[in-house]
Amino acid sequence: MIATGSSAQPILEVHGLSVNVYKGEHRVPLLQDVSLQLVCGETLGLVGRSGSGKTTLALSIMRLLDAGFEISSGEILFKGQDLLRASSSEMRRLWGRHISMVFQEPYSALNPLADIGTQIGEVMQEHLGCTRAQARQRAAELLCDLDVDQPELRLRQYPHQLSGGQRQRALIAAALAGAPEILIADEPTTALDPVAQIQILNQLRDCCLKREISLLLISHDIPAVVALADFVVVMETGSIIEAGPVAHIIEAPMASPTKELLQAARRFSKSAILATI
Amino acid sequence: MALLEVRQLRKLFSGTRFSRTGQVIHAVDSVSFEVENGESLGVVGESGSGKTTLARCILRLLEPTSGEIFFESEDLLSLGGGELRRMRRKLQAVFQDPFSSLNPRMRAAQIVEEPLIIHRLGNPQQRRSRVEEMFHMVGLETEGLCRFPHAFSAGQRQRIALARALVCGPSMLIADEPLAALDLVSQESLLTLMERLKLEMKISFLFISHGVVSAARLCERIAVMWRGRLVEVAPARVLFTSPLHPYTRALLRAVPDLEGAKNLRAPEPPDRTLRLGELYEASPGHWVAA
Repeated sequence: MIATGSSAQPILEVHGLSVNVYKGEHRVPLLQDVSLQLVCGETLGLVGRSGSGKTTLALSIMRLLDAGFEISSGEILFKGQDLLRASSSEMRRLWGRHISMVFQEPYSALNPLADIGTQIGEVMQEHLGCTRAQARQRAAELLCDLDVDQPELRLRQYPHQLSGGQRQRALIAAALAGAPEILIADEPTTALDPVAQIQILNQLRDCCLKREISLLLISHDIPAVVALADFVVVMETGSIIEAGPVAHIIEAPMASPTKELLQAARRFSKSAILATI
Repeated sequence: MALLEVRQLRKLFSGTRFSRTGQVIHAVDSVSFEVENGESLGVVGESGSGKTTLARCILRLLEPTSGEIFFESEDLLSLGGGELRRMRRKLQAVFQDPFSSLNPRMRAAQIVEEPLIIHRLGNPQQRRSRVEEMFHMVGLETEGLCRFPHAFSAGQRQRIALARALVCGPSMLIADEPLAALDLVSQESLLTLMERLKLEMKISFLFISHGVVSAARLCERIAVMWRGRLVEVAPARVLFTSPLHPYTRALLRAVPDLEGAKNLRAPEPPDRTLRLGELYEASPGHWVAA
């Protein structure tokens, strides 16, 4: 099954991807025949419970899987180029400039020994030929776009000096710095309180719209996905079990894991609580 | 007398010798509240608002700078080693991270049994059947008893932590973000379990969370914390229907609703420099910071 939103040009296509991991002699399948399409300029939501293979899929697309993982079949096409056959120098050219990723845990994804300005600026120095000063200038503008207060001060600070929300924004800024065409955001808001969550989702959406970035948003947080995505893919134990336009999935889910996720999300919603207390 | 009474609790963190500014952080500032027998209180607020510090002070995992804490009419802060241990039979905790809160070298059965051994309850046979009973109660299969924590999912580990906390029959359970590490479906089933255990075992929860909906489902009353202080305390329904403090309003506006999720609007949190006054009673049982 190929999950597709519209007839528009896909910028990223995954076809029949299977990934295994070896535990000793044991072969454990993590992804089985996964196919999806990310349409240019659209947002694709990838939802599922923990352990369903969402992050493995993201890391496969980024070619960041550890040595113990084996991609047994499939192809990942970025504008027609198969990323699974790309050399490491070709991947270096793509990372940050064409495909970026916001990782799940901002604290471990940032380098504790470099200040924020260096980490955001690095991408621009590497890919856009900026000088250090230009890169820092643009890093400050990016933080400003993401509503970080005192951006100049933040650039000189280290990750441990920032709050969770600021770290998450710094990581998004670093991912956006190279003006990529695709952004993969893996649970970008789950560690945050609800007010910070909504702020960051808003900023993420605005940035992607403004820069015409195609977004792959990975989350188990259904309301967040509903808010941002055009199209949703649901994963369960390494396979895609359902896909469709957001409104369609919300109103008429077919697979039982999808129903389960929606039911849980509804029980944590405001209307549910007002009806019961 | 209330089950738990906290009076004017303060915890300051002063900068270490390495910090240039010598800044003092008021993590918890003049917090007072009561939890009645059989009642549960939810503490909600943004990350960094002092919720966890408050919980750790009550558990005496941190020494408060000043203030008083009474649990079952005893002054918790004056208790020494042995007395404190005895008290902990009645006051238990479940922590946020189910990966670091269980000893990886102990089997599930040993983890749940350990409090019984510490408090010298029952003989080995009675302890074993109590552990099995707890396993059933939290919805785990008894086949898992001899497994190590790594063999369980995050949701199952949180159930083991819950079984360990409840095995001695405490009167109060302090749960610090027990749902934060779980996906929505596991959150839902763990919360439903806690709602049931609360009624069956007549436990008072001090439920700390940034999810105001989960707090409202488990607790009769909710306290909203912001920048180290309580800014609003009210019965759950009152808090949802007539919130008074600007931070509470922002927090409630941020609660997701599936149907309206498309029109995502960021709530404006109040200005951080807003001066916080003492709590006053706006209507019976509804307290808000001036």
